[in-house]
Amino acid sequence: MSSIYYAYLTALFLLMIGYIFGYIIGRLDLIYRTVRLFTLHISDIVSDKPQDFFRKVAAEDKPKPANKVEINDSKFVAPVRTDSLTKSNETAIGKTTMTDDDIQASVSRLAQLKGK
Amino acid sequence: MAKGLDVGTSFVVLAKDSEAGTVEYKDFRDAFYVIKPTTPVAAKMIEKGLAGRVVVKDADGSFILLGQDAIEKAVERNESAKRPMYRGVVSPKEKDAKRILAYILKEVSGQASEPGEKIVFCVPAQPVDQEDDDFDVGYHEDTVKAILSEVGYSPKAINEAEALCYSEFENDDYTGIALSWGAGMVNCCVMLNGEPTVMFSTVKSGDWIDRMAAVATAEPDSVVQAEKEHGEFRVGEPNANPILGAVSAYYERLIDYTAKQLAAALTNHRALPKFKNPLPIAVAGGTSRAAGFVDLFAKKLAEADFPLAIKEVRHAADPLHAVARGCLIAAKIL
Repeated sequence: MSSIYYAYLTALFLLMIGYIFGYIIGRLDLIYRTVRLFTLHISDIVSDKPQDFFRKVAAEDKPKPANKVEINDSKFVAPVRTDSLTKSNETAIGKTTMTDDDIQASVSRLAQLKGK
Repeated sequence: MAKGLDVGTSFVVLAKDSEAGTVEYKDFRDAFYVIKPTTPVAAKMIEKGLAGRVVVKDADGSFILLGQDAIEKAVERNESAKRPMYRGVVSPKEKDAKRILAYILKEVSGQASEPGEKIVFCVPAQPVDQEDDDFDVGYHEDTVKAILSEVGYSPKAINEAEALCYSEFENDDYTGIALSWGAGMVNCCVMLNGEPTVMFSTVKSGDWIDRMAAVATAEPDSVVQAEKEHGEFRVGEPNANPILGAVSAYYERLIDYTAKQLAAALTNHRALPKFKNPLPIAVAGGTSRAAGFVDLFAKKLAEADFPLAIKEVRHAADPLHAVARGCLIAAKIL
């Protein structure tokens, strides 16, 4: 009788120990987060959800890393036709001024500075 | 052979070597005025009346006066002439702008003397006082290149104030600050030993004076412009003529504004070199030709706490042709 009683008590004790261990293991995450609350910045605990599952999709949504290939989006310059404009008379365009200015010295000096 | 071309809002100026080896300029007022006849008889009368003026006939039968003649005709009719350029670039506001500009540029520059002849033309810098989608220097540059390529040139663009530096700083080791006061904008370049270091522009200049004075006196812009160019006044001083009085007052405000903009733009500018010596400042352009301009500008620079030591503020020897001269010098080197 006593041996059955001891076996029953041992089984009950093991069951309780197992339950307590299971509870602690189940709550480890909560305990861990409670401890971290005092050591981490709020931005670190905004989301605790595992991200691995979403990561692949999110990576596809992101713009691709910038590379050096760019499209030329400058304004297109269409040919400028002046055929429709005809001189009405032979009056010369522009006033011509002759000077005695010789720029050769300026050209030489600048070419020297620019190494040309 | 090489040529320099100043493509300005108010004037197109070509610089080239003369047969004597000196520099020859050809300048033309960048303006047009359209007269559309209503009947064939009127067309004949108009054509007769325009004899001796620079005029082209369009496919739709209208007459397009070009240059100074356009301004004079507009003044006669109490209207304003149109411009193919606006604030330094091909005008996005005028439907005919590109066609007229192309015609003027082709006529002024002429056919290249040999295929691929070098021509350097000027373009404005990005403004510091306006963000405007219509201001597209790249498009303007490509348009002018396309036009000049059509007449056989190999065109290259440089900044307007950079060209002025090449023209004015030979005796300063090509170091200094150049300001080109055009009709549409003021272009600035800081140069160190022939290398441009800082370039920018402001969008208020001669046309702004005309516009403001025109509003103040209830006159068309063309009338104000004609008075400004031919009347006698001194910048910042009162004048008995109400138009010139307004012009003088707005000149002073423009100079004050530009001096402050320059000081603000250059203060703590990252690209600004540390200069050992005080810098010369050269000014040119049609707007700078008014009496008293240079003295007042030097005074306003001092008042605006200009961040660099100034050696002198001087006027270009030939303010209207200096940029084209600089383009020609560049064309012989670049």
